[in-house]
Amino acid sequence: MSSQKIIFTGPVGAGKSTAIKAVSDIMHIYTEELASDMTQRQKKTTTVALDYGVIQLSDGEKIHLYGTPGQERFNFMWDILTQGGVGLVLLINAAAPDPFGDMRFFITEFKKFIQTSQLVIGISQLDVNPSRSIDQFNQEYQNIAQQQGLKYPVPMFTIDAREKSDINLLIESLLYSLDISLAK
Amino acid sequence: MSIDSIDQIETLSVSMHCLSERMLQVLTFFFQQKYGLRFRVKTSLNSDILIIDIDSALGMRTLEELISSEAANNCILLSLNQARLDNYTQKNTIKISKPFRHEQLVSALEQAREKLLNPEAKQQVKQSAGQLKPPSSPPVLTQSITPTVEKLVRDSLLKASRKVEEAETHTHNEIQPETEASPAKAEKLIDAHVQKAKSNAAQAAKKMGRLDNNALVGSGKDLSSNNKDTQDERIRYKPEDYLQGTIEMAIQKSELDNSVITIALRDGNIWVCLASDTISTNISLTSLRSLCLIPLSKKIALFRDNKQNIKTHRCQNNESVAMFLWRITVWTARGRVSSNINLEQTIQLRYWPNLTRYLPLPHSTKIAALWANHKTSLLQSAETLQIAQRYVFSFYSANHALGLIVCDDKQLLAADEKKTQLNSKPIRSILGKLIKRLQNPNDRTH
Repeated sequence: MSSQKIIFTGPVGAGKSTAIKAVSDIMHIYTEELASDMTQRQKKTTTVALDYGVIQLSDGEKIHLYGTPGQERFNFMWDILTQGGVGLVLLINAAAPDPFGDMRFFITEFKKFIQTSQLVIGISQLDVNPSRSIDQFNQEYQNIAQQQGLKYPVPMFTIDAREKSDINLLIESLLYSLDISLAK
Repeated sequence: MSIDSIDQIETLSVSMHCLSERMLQVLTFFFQQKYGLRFRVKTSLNSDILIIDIDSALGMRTLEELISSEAANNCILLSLNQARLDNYTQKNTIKISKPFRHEQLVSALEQAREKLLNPEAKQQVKQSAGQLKPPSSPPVLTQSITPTVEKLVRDSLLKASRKVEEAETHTHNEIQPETEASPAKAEKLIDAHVQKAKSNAAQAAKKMGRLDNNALVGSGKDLSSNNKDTQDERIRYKPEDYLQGTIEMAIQKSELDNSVITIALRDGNIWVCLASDTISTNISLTSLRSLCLIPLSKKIALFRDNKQNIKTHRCQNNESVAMFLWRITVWTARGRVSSNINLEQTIQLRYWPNLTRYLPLPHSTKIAALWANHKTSLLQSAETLQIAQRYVFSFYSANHALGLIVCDDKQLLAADEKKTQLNSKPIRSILGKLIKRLQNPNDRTH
C-alpha cells in the first residue's frame, strides 16, 4: 500500500485551506487562529500549523494533501513538508496588493522542490478583479522561470477555491505534466 | 395531394423575408434540393408565395406593407408566439408555429399552391398554429435512467410472470403438477431481462455521451497514413467564411481603433470591446451555436459603436474575449483545422489555456501537457496519446485562435525537451488511479 503527497502553498488568503477542503475525502484537519498581525488586514483567521486532507484510492492507497501556512515566519516548515512530494499547487490571490510579488516570492522559496517535481498555479479572485488578466500572470511566470531556470509554460488556471472541479483540473494537469504516459 | 404523384408540374416562385440567416439557408437548401421542380426561390416580394417570419424586427412591418398592397393573400407566417399568430386575422393566410417540421411546411405550401392554381376550389385555409403545432421534444436520455428502467422492467416482468404462471397453472395443471422450480425460473428470467435492460440503458447513456462529444468535435474519422492527401479536405475549414472569422476581424478592428465594434446579425448583435476585454451579445447561446455551423452567405457589417449602446440592450451573454472566441472556434471547428495549417509542422504551447473557464473539450489536459513539454506535430499528438485526431484538431483550432501556439522553428529550437517521465512504476500506478478518480464525473462536483 503506497501513498504520495501534493503540497498546496501560497500567500495568506489565496484559498489553500478551502481548496484542500474541496477535494479531501476526510474531515479536513487544520488549525485556524484569530489573526493578530498584518494578516488581520487580509482575513480574520489564518492557518498557523498546516492544512491536511486525503484523497482515498482503491486498495487503500492514498494521496495526502498538505497546505503550508501562508505566513513567512512559518517557512521553516516548508522544507519538511515538501520532502517526498510529487508536485506543488501554488495559489495566488489576484486581488492582493502585489500578486506578482507573491508569485515571485513563493516560486523562489520553493525553487528546489519545483525543479524536482511539477508546479501548477491557480489564480483566485481573478473573476472579481478585472484589472488583471491570466495572460499577465502567464507572462510574469515566464519572466520568473527564465530568470530562475525553471521550465515553462506550466498549467495556470483561474480558480474558485470552493469549486471542486477547478481544483480537480489543477491536480489532473499537474499529473499529466509530471508524466505524459499517464495520459495513455 | 401528394407531391410525388403530380405529373404536370407548374413551378411557383417562393420568396422568404425576415428569416434568420440560418433558417434562410436551411429553407433555400430545402427548396433547391427537394422541391426545385415545384418551387423556385426568388428574393423579391413579387412572388407567388411569401414566407415571412413575424418575430423579426422587420417582420410585422413587412407584413403590414403587404396587406396594404394586397399581396398578403399568399403568405405563410412563421412565429414562435402563438398569440401573435392568433392575433393576425387576415383571411387565407397560413400560419405555422416555430419550430416546425418540414412536413408542416410542405403541407402549407401545398395549400397555397392549390389555392393559386385552382382559385375556384374553396380551400379550408384555416391551418392555424393550432393545426400545425410544433412537434413535442423527444425525451432526453440520461444516465439516471438506469434505476428507473430497472424498476419498470422488474415490475412489468413480475406482473407478466405472475400471469404466465397463472395461465400455465390453468393449462398444465392436470398434465404437469406445479413444481417449486417455476418461481425460481421466473426470477432468473426477470434477472436476465433486468440485466439486458440495464445494459441497454448503459449503452444508451454511453451513446448520449458520444453524441455530446460529437457536437463539440464532430465525428470525422482519422486520416489514414496511406491517402492523407485525398482525405485532407474533410478536416479543413476556412474560419473567414464563418462567424469565427468575423469575430476575429472585429477583435482586430477593436484593437486598432480602440473602440467598441458591433457585429450586426439578423438574430441580434455582438459587441466586441477589447479595451474592457469583453464580448457581449443579445443572441442566445443556442442561436450562436447554430450560427457557427453554417458559412455566412454575405459579408457581415461591422461598425464602430458607443460603449453606452451596449447597456441599452439586454445582453444574454457577457464573456472575456478569450472565453468567447474559444467557444465560437470550438463550435465552428468541430474536429477540423484551418485550411492553411500543416498537420506535420512541429508545434508547442506558448501558455496553457485557461481550461477552468473555457468551454471544456475532451482530452484537453492531456494534449496541453504534451504540447507544453514536448515538440510534436498534430498527427503525432493523436498517435502519442492514442486518441482520435479530431480531439487534437479541435483543441488546436481553439488554441490557435487565441494565439497560444508556437510553430516558429527558431523558438522551438530554443525550448529544451523537458523530462516528463516518472522513473518509479509504483508512483505511476498510484497517480494513474488518482487521475481516474479525478475524471470520474461523480467526483467533479460536490
